[in-house]
Amino acid sequence: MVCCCVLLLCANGLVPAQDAKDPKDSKDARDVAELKVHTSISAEHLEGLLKGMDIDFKKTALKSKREGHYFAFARGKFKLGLYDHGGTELMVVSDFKALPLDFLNQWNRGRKQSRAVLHQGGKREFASLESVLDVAAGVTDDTVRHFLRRFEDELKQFDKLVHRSETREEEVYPSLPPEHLEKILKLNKVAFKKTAGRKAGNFIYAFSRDSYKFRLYDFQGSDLMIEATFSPAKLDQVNRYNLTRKFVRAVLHQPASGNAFTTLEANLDCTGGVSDSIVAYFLQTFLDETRQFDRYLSKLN
Amino acid sequence: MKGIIHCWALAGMAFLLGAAGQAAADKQKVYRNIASDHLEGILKDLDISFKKSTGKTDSIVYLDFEKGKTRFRLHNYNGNDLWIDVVYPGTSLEQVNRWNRKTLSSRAVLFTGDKQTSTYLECQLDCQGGVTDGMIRRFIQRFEIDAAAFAKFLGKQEDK
Repeated sequence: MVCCCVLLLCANGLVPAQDAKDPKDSKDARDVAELKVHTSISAEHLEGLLKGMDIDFKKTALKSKREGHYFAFARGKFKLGLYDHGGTELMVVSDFKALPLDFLNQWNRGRKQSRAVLHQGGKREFASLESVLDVAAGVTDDTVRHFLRRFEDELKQFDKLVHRSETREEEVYPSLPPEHLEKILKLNKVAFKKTAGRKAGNFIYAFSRDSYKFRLYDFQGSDLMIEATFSPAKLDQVNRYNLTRKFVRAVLHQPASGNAFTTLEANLDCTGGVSDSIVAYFLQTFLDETRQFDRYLSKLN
Repeated sequence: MKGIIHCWALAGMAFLLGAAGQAAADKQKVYRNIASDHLEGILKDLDISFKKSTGKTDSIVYLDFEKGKTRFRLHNYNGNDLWIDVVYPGTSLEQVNRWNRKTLSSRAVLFTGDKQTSTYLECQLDCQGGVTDGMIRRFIQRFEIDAAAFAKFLGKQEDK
């Protein structure tokens, strides 16, 4: 830790040294204190500051070319990361799922301290809120604490804005007539073959995507079930898959006549009200789930 | 004149019949993230008294409630997905698979721990694709029905 100078500071800001030669004489003496100003902060000193703020962190060395450390910690529901770049610069970040660029830009236009960024090109696309503190310019312990607290406040505001942007009014249907479902399928470029089910009002839509064959069951517009068929797996393998995945169900079928097979299934209950985008998302995510299940079965063989 | 009126009446009927085939839509809020207080509000609307706790992080919220003798746990994972489950005693993988073959909305899984084996009946709702309040209500209510049916199913299997 490098301590370059000692300044007299008051709670409201810097106090010119000449005006505060003898703070005891001043009526604001209790607000004035001698504080160390650092132009570099050691990892140990930073750890002490974090502990003093009741922050439980996990410290790792930075893998990048820049020397330093990374402190991972949680504040409320948020996961934060604090980058210590060689003690001369601190950067605090919190990740969000990918957000539209215009939304991030709107945030950045009205902010002084933090900035929102979209990270693209890696394995996954994501957004982050980040803020930098230039330690080399000179900071006190309070500056670091204030930097972290203020970021937490900004994070809460950003999160609220994200939530608000995620809610929008859409046309919601209490049930899906076949014509409407077919319209959604066509809009999503799904070429299907339609057959009637055993019960009146039930329909089956067979289609292919990425070499996978799907069957979408429409139960009188109130329930949709989508399935993809695979070669059989052992019951414990099927159960293990169900233990690790959400939103889908793997099932082993052993018909009395014919060969055994496995299905991956998902359902969408439409009676609570669904929109076109909800149905489209249901179809799209099942394709991703199908790929995952296929990979799982391939590893077993 | 009667002929014209008849034609208009037929056209009107055809329009009404056509409209009947269309789903009656209305504008509703579609959420892609469900805040805990929002979910708690829905439970209160359903007259469900619950006990709230948090998981490993504050972003994982558990809402525990009982219906009859059945204990339900509703999980909210950072508002991105909801998970509801009931724990039953251990059963066989065959029974678990039999249930999964016949069910539409839930799934059964067998969990083998160090000390005991349990059967979980569970269902998840992916909120990131968009959910309505009605979907969440239906998700909870339908699972309650499924849980009762699953208890019966396990009872019957044991009798055999």
